[in-house]
Amino acid sequence: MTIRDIVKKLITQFRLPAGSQTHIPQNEMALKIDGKLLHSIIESLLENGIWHLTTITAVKKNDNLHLLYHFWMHGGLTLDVPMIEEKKEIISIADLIPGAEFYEREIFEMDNVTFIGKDYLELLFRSDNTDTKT
Amino acid sequence: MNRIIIPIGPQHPLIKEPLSVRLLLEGERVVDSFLRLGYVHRGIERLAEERSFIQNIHLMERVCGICSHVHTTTYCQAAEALLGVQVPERGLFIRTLLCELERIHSHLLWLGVLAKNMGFETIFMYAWQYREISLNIMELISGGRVSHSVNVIGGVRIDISQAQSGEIELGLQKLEERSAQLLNFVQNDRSFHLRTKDIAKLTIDDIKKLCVVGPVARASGLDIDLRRDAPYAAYPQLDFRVYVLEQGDVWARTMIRLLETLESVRLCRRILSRLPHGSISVDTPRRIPPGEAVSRCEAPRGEVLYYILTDGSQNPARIKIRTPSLTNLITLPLQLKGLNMADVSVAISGVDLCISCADR
Repeated sequence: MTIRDIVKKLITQFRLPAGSQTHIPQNEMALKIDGKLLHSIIESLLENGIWHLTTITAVKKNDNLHLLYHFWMHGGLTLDVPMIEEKKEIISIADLIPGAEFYEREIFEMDNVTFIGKDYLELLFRSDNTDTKT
Repeated sequence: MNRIIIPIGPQHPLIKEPLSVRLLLEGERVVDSFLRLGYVHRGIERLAEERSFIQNIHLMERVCGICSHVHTTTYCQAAEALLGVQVPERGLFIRTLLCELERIHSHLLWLGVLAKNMGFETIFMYAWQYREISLNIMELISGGRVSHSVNVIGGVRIDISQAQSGEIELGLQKLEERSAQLLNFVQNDRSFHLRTKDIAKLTIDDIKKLCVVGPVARASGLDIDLRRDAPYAAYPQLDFRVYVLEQGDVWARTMIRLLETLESVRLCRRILSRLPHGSISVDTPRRIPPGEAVSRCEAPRGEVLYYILTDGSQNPARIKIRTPSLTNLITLPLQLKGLNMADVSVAISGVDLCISCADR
């Protein structure tokens, strides 16, 4: 099953709105999803053999923070998850993909995003005397 | 049995860059370990937002002092994708040549570090002496041994003359002979086997769960290499072999890297023999239209990803850099668990960590 087929399947399975699928150069598919669906969609990706998460990017688009989950499996797929600015929290996917832990910890420390289900108490990048809330 | 914590780093002779590894020991056995990064965090992603697309080429080259060229290649590819420009064939071949020379240099450097940390001083000296040959070739091409400044958005800025090709060929011949000697040592030396076989093993399931890449993944049986699986630059036009071993220990990682070194020498020869004629770059505008791009390359340590968001101004709105070292670092606590203290240096060296890369 190609990335394109899997994206089509996800759109049907999760009833994603038209226009949620886009293309990013070079050769990446992108899918805009709601944060509430993230865990279920990643479960579905794993079932379809897409297990390689390259990284997670935190990016501001039109003053709104988005988390981009970059997957790769013989083709690139980016899940674009817009965040609600005042909440800045999202479910952790480290229980499904343990390799996501360092990426989540980096975003927790640099962008103050809370990952529900994971308490990242030990700092990875920042020193102990820096306030993570600044 | 009493438990004690032994800190290694952030400044320690074993690790050439600052990394803190705290080992929880029960007797001589490692029970758990805790990592801490950030000692060489330079804020490169933030700095990039203050610089123009052209200035950023030189900034990206400084993410890593070993694989500097692959960083600029990945960055330039993303910018070129946003501009919709096609790099001339000759430019792509020269880019690829530098990528492969960098792989040779990185793998030989790593072998030296591993050998030194294990007490094989002779192998350390041979590996670093042979590495000089690859550095000399890169200096001949670009004038730089570490930072090459070869890439520009739209191609490369340095051409290769016929006379240079001849000199590079001589260097490659030496590299092939000497890397084969090192491979012979790794394959046959009993004391090297005793120190590396069955040490810091990772199964293919561990590799998949932790999303590990590069030689560490290939040494555990995962057949993944972006040069073949998502070909870029001149790789679609070149035949090469991707080596995969099943053992998943430090010995397999060493074998994979030496086999790749020899394959890279052969690839460099193929590139030189098929170097197309024509221009090496195309002119591109200073401003990049609004949009976003993702670019991936296979660095010596594995997959590098660059994400670029542009708003139409002269500077990027966001650049995300993902380096393979950060991913490979995740495996370290798993590798260290259950090891004897004496094998910790072998396990840490076996991953081929670049902390500057991981910290950015």
